[in-house]
Amino acid sequence: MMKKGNVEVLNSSSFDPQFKFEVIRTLEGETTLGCFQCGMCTASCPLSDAVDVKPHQVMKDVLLGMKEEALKCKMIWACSFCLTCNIRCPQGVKPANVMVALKHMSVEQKGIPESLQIVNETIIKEGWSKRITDFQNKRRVELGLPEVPKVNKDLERLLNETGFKEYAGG
Amino acid sequence: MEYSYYMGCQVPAQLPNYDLATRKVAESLDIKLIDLLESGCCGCVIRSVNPYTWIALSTRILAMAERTKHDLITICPGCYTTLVEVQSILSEKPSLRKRMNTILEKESLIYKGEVKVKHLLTALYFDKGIEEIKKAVTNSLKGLKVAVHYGCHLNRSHDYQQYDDPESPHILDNICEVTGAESVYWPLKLWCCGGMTNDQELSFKLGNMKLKDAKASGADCIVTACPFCQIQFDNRQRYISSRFNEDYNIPVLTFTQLLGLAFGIKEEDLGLQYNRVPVEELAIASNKDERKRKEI
Repeated sequence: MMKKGNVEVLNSSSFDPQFKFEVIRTLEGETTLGCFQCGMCTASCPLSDAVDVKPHQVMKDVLLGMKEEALKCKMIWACSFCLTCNIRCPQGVKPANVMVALKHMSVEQKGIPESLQIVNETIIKEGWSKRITDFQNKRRVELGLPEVPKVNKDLERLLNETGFKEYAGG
Repeated sequence: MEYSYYMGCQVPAQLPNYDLATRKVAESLDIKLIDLLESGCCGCVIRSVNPYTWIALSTRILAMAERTKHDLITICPGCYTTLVEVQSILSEKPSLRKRMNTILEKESLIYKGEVKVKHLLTALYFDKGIEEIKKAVTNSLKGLKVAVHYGCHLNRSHDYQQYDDPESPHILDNICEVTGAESVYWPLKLWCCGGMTNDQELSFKLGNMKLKDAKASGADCIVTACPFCQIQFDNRQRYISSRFNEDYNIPVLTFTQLLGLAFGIKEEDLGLQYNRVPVEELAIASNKDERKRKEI
């Protein structure tokens, strides 16, 4: 990005016009093209004052084809998926879901962030996203609650067949 | 009344009290819960990593619930939204459903799309009905002020919107009011608690804002319907307080624990001893009026 005085000048030759079509072909990004930049998502977002690129700017990045900017911004990982933008968007766009689609693209391109890596390994080892320790299971039994079993063969096979394991090793 | 019961990952891993209270309350309302313990994760946390694994994991749970021939209830709004979303995706994309079924068929499971997914809250409100719940109340919590917290994935999931207004929901308020407690107004009621964000700093900041607001509203306790919110407000409250130099000390109950108290279930049976912020003072608060009367 080039600067002229206080104004950032974008160079459109680096834009990827196909990017928005890539996004709408994903499972969660279907609604993207409806965005007309009203900014309702940013106004509703509880995190927008704390992130570098606001939700409506991420949407604009996608529409313009600024792939790099969209995939590297802090916003997509900060999003807590609270769905406020989804219910308020006057165009029926689902920005929260678009963030998920972008996260997936970012994972494909740059690998998994560390915080998710731990979750992935836990799912493969335990079958649950959070480790249910022996201590917790013992406590559950003491309280008269059923013990929760770890990953079984069927679950392991499912993770294999959907190609999940390749995401775990980094 | 019978349901298949899926509790998700966070509840068995961190909140035995929520699970315990849910079972006791269900028992006193004559609701039978059939456990789906072999089901594993619903995949909501990995939907950004590999969408197909996410959908396969959820479909597996739906298929297991279908096998029991009863509606599926969850006590985690995260799982609830994930499962209803997967249902709507699978109904729109038959080819994907076929692909999922070929994976599941090896463990002789099949997903036909018949099962109905509900959060325990909507099951209580619509299937059981407020009147029935009222009949079970033996110990009125009159005088108790509660700050009701729905959780994002509950009141803003697209399925829930058929029942209630996402911008001013009332189901949880009504259920809390059945116990005699008063639901107070707090401006940040519908905001996200921050429990799900990958950014820890932001998460604590949001948690602090919410706790501050709940405290300022004059509530005696916060009532949640979501394990993530319960963990954020209760388990992390001490840390958030010390970090932002505050002293909140506001008890946080799950809505089944609140109902349990009103049903006269013993405190140990509701797992109140496992709530991190001590709830002893709450019992005093709930009988505030009575005490005052006695003093006079």
